[in-house]
Amino acid sequence: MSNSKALFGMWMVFLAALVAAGVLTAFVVLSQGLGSYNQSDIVFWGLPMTGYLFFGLTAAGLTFLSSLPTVFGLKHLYPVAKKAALLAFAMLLSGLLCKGLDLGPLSTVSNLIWVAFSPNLASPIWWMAVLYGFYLLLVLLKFRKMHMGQWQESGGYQVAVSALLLAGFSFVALCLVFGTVAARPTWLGASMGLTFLVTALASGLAALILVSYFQGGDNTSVLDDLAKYLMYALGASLVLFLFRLAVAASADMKGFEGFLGMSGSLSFNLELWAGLVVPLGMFAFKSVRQSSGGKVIASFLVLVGMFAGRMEQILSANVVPMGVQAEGMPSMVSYMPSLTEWGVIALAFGLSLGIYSLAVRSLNLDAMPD
Amino acid sequence: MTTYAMVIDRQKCVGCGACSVACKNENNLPEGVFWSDKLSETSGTFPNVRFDYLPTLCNHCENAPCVEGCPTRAMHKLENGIVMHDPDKCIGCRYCIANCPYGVISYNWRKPFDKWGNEDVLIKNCTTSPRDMVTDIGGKGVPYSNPERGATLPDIRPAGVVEKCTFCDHRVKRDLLPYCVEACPSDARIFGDLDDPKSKVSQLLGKYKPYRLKEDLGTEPRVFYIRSFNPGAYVRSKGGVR
Repeated sequence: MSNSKALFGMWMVFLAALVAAGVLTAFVVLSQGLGSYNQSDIVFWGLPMTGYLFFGLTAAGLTFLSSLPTVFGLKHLYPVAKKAALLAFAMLLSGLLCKGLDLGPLSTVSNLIWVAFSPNLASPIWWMAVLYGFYLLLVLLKFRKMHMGQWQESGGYQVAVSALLLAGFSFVALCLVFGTVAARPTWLGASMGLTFLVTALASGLAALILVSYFQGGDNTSVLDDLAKYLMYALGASLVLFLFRLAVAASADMKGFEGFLGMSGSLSFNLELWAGLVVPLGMFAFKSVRQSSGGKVIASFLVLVGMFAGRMEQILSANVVPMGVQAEGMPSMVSYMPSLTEWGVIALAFGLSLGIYSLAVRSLNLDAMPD
Repeated sequence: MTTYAMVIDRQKCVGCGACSVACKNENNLPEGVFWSDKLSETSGTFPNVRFDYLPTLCNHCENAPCVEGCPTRAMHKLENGIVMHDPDKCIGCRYCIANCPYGVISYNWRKPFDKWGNEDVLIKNCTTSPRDMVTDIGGKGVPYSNPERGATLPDIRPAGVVEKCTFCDHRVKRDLLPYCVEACPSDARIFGDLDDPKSKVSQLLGKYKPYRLKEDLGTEPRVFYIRSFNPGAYVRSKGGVR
């Protein structure tokens, strides 16, 4: 017991250090702007945007998973529904923080007020900002209803349905942000949206398996089911990854050079091997899939690979200079995130894991309806 | 109605870069930012080489993807067709940069002209500090800032927002030409109203077949290029198979 308390204390100190580093970063960014980021007008979105995509999409996957028992009647998943709902909230909050720290100094961030007073309904970013705002509130409300034991009351059901719908709508808005950029074919079209869909589910499942394991329940039938779903999601993700690769390699179209050019990069290879091939290969063996170690290692690899994948998905469309930016530049530019950018990610991980870890101790996340 | 457009005659352009220098002075552009820029290319194999120079700027597209994507209408179109930007509404999301196929929008990653805010003096009681120099001359941010730019935009745009060419809307308002047009020593840049059939731009677009950048994207740029630089004649021949 005292060992467990000591471990928890060390874990919280570690998370507090991450948050402290992130708060320092936030102070630098909000007071001075993004000058300390290693970004440019060519690589205009980098690691903080990667964090936003990773946490935002994982939250979408988790919201869907927490809705499976409450909305779709898959009652065997009730034991993880409350955990998934809280983790979705924590991840979404962290994702939005990453995006907030990717805007600029406080003077720029305060211009967000114009989202309300000067809306452009034709802009996918406007819809994304508004829908994600409401989505965050509803996920929190959904968790509150669960915590108060109102799982099957009409109010609880309506909130669960609304949260699921908002997760869906905000997911579509996020896909449109990328899918409507005609200038960058790597993002353009429905392919990226489909990739987001299956990988969101995969990263949500991996996150849920990991937290469920470390929370104490290791080899329950629910975790076996989640591992099976993760295997299917990884299979679909791999098919879509290979589809993107085939299109990029065979299409006689400028704009895919970035994706192909990244094939030697760390993010591309982590995404493919650590995020897809190795965990899928592990889960192909039932014995590995049903073992605690197999689940934990594969889920961890999936999350690492998915994070790297979000970076690949962002960078593949902006490492190649666009138009006049090409003057005097190589055909592809390199990008290495700065310490400040890693500080944003540290804040996001520290905050989301901190919220969850504290909730484990005080909010009975294993609760289920009677 | 007025729809402003620019014609760039590449036969007349000598590639001197005066347009870029004039633009930087007129609009108080920070280091590394060019609203008026160029794409150059050297092609061929020595000694048969060729140097091409393409002046570029914001295309003030009819179907501007930067305007369509801006969540707060900070990027907007004026009635005269100029694509304008309001830094007071910009949230710094850089979606306009993602959407612009021409790469002509810049984000201020740092506070522009930050070094001019430095209060350190090189030699005490002898030289003046950069900040004192700015204050003494009465400049805004830099000693050489152009106060006329402030008529429609902040003299110097702050950190955390994007900026781009405005066709010198502050000059056009006063019936003056954009400063890059004014400064061009070979009159390669011609500015005017596309809706006026008598304007020089309309006449030139009728006389020469124009082309625009990335027309296949359907953005309908309002910057047209005519002719191309012709370095001279060559000895008449039908070529050969060996």
